[in-house]
Amino acid sequence: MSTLATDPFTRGNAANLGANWTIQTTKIAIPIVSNAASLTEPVNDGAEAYTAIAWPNDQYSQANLTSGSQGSPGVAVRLQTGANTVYWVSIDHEATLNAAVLKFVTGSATALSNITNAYTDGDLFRLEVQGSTLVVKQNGTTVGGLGASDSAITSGNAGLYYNAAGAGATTSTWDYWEGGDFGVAIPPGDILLFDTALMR
Amino acid sequence: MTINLYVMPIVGTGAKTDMRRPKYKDSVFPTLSWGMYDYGNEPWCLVGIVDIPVATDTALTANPDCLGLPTNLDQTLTTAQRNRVSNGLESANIPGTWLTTSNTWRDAVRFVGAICQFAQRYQGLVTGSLWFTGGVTLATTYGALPQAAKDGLLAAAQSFSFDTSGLVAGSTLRQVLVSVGNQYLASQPPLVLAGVTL
Repeated sequence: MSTLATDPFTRGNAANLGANWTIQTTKIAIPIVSNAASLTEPVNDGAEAYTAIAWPNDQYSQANLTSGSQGSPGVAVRLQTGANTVYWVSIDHEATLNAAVLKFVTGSATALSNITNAYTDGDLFRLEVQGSTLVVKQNGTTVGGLGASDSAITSGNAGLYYNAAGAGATTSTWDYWEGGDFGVAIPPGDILLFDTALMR
Repeated sequence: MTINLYVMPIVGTGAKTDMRRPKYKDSVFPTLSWGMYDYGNEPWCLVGIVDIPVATDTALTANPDCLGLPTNLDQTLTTAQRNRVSNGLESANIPGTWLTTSNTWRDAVRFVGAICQFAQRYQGLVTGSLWFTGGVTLATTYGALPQAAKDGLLAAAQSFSFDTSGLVAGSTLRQVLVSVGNQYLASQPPLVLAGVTL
């Protein structure tokens, strides 16, 4: 697993996430507020894709998520910028069925899994996609009930997604975003050793 | 954690406030955890419901359009079960006549899962397009399908690197879907539903 991009959002307040990010068509920008990605929005959904690199099809997206009382923040994979096409994991503080994996295919929304899941603001959520397999991890532990297989979307970017859920919205935030792939990373300075006896 | 599996209709327009979801989610199991494979754009789905109470399972399977599967998927089908499953799948426009009494429930559900994955790929390639519309049935030949459907089926099969030699004018849609379903299963990808590998 390799980290391909990070954004701690540690910078001045701004109307969107900046030059490395692209707002998904039909969605609103996610602003920077107090060194975090932050949205207080009752009506419009938000989505931004990290587009400063070319993403492999197998990818992950993660961030520390804090949900407002109305509205669900989440992390997204295979997020396409020119159409509302994406896989994303949504989390909020509803009493039941508060976590979901969702797909939008050119705007048509389908719930792939929906479970009741203990959640504390600030938990680290990661959505991984490899081939047709979607895996959600919370603070490094797989959230089994959210695992899914889906073959509709084959490519796109890692990013952030937000579902607006009506009046009374309070602030949702994302912090310390990271995206990556599943290649084998060799840390700088490590040495590969080959035992030639095993190669005979 | 126990998963009960069902084939049932899917409802919802796909709008954010009316997401596509299992038909009986709101009315029969509104608070239970679940996962779903949609049959692409078709109005059917395979649903896994977590730890469903017996009374709720009974209420679900009392609906004639809801096909329930046992929790032990490794039993072979009896003749009566084979007939019920085959008819249930065919009524959902999912090929079912290939089933025999030597098949297990797992064979049946993995095939449905595979067909759903193929239909989803088609969904991603041909937005909003249905196979079973305008009089098209499983018995309709590939050659009689609208050109957009033929192109989409071919593109979906090619995207999985399937052998497409069976996509010829005289093949029925049933034959095409059985072929791609079996090819999907032969590639042995994981089929995960509500966190459980089928």
